Amino acid sequence: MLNKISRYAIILIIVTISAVHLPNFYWKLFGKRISRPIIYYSPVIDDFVYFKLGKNNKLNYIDASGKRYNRKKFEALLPFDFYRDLDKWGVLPDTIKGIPIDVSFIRKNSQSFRISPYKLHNPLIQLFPLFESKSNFTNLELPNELFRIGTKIEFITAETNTINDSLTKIFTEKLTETGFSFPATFIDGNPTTRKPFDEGYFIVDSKGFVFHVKRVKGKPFCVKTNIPADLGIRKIFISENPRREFYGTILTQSEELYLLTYDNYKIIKLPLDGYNPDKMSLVFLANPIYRVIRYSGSESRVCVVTDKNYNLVDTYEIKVTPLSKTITGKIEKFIFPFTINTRSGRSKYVNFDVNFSGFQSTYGIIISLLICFFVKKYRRENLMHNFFDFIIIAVSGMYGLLAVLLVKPELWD
Amino acid sequence: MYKAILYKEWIKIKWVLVGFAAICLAVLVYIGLDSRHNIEMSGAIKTWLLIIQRKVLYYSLLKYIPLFAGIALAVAQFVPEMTKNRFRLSFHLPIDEKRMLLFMILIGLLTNMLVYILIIVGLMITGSAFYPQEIVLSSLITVTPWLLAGIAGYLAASMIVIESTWKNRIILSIISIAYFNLLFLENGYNEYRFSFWYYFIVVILFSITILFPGYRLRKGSK
Repeated sequence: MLNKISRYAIILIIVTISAVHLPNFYWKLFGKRISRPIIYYSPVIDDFVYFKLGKNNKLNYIDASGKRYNRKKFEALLPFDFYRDLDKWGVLPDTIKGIPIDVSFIRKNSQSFRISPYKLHNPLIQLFPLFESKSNFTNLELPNELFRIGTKIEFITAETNTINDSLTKIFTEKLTETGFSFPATFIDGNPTTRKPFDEGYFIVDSKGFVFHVKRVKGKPFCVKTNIPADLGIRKIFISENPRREFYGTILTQSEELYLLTYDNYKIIKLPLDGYNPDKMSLVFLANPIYRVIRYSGSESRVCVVTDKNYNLVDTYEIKVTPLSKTITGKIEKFIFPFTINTRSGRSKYVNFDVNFSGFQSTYGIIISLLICFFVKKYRRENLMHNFFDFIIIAVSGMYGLLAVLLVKPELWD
Repeated sequence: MYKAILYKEWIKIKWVLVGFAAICLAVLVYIGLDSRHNIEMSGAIKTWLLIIQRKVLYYSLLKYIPLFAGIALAVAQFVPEMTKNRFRLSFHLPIDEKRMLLFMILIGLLTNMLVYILIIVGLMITGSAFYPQEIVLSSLITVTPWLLAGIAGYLAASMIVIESTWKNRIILSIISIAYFNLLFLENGYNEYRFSFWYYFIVVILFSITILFPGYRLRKGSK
């Protein structure tokens, strides 16, 4: 009996490993690039324009009404996105919608950031550098210590790997004074020196209140913001920008995205219908007239345009055929009853995600069962002695077939 | 009987154990020296942030040692049994061959554990000397899939050695390598946090795989 179980253990291992590697090989062999259009909003024609890969593997430049352009004409429709090209060709317009523009004006009034799903699924050691945000020097410098927040905010001096008691004391006192209840739920900031200036950290305390913490001239700066504690914040993305319009964005558990503004921490909800932060990546572009937000998953690409006050101007959506609905994807479902994914671009974690293919795989399973039946007949095996082989194939299709045929049964005692 | 088997296994594996303990100690000492050097040269805070933000694993030199240790132990334990068909003699001993194989595997696993304890304690000591506890903890979490690969390597290699035909040995080797590969996918620290137990379950399946080739050996299957 145990010997039989041992054989099935080997078979199950083969099934598992095949379910990871075979679909991978399949896509490496048959995967095709699919066209994913990139959508822009043109302030020249007040309409959406996009480019996508055509059938001849060349880029097609199209506007929402279907009119085609060449690349130069297309870029001329988007002076805020391609101003460097237009300037080089000497065709950058002097005014757009009555606003006089030039390269430096566009540059000063533009801002962009990207939110990718992996930023939400990324293991991170919870130790942060608190930069001096009002230094006499232009470039940001690394401090000598990192902080952590437990029952207090603790600073660890790196050179000696010991707690810096005085910093710990003054910051803990300041936070407590401001009404911070330890420990922190999470700490979000932009801990890099490669930014124009430092806005410190936004820290959510154990009651859900958001605190803004900085180091100013070596002293703690701490503000309890008026962001509602019941907003259900999932993550705060901070990106300092000289425009100083907003600190960054707040993502909530209910998949809403807010801008966190410099206007006394007022939050502005962005009109993003159907945005799923776990599956879609989002690009935010501010230009002198509009805010353009693109978010795209495997099935659609959406572009939302708002005015400078974040009132919705227009939206445009292009449906994309996801990989799973292409012919290759359909055949994959037919061959493989399930797949196991270990790595994905949407997460920095190594996963073990089992994805079932659904009813299409029944055909593949039936064919696998028949092949097994005939091979066993050919090998003159007694079908009833290892009947469990068929059950394995009925569940795992061709993975099971491969395993059962590779690990031949013995004549059991 | 078990005491006699234990003694026999000890004779076969003691030098492998000593060898890998020495390699681990050397690597751990090197990791310590390397950390000291980096901190001295680029400053402690930069070194820490390189680990935290850029996810440089300062202990990555350890990565494949458990796997090689596992394979070497299995080879030391089972290859002498397979040469000149010695293992077939033990089928005449007054002990069930399945029990004996599992007992041998158990001894091998415990020996592997000794190496792992050395690695874990060593990482804790060298880590705490230079890094805060968060980084030390993450190093321990990050090496667990590598240790698991060591166990998988030991179990798989035992199975492959005991298997009597070369054709099957090749098939089993390909499958085992395809599995080991899944335990070295990390690009940073703590990445197996949510999936570790699934990979662990597969390794549990490996723990009884040796019985089937053992059975084939007794039957003289080709």
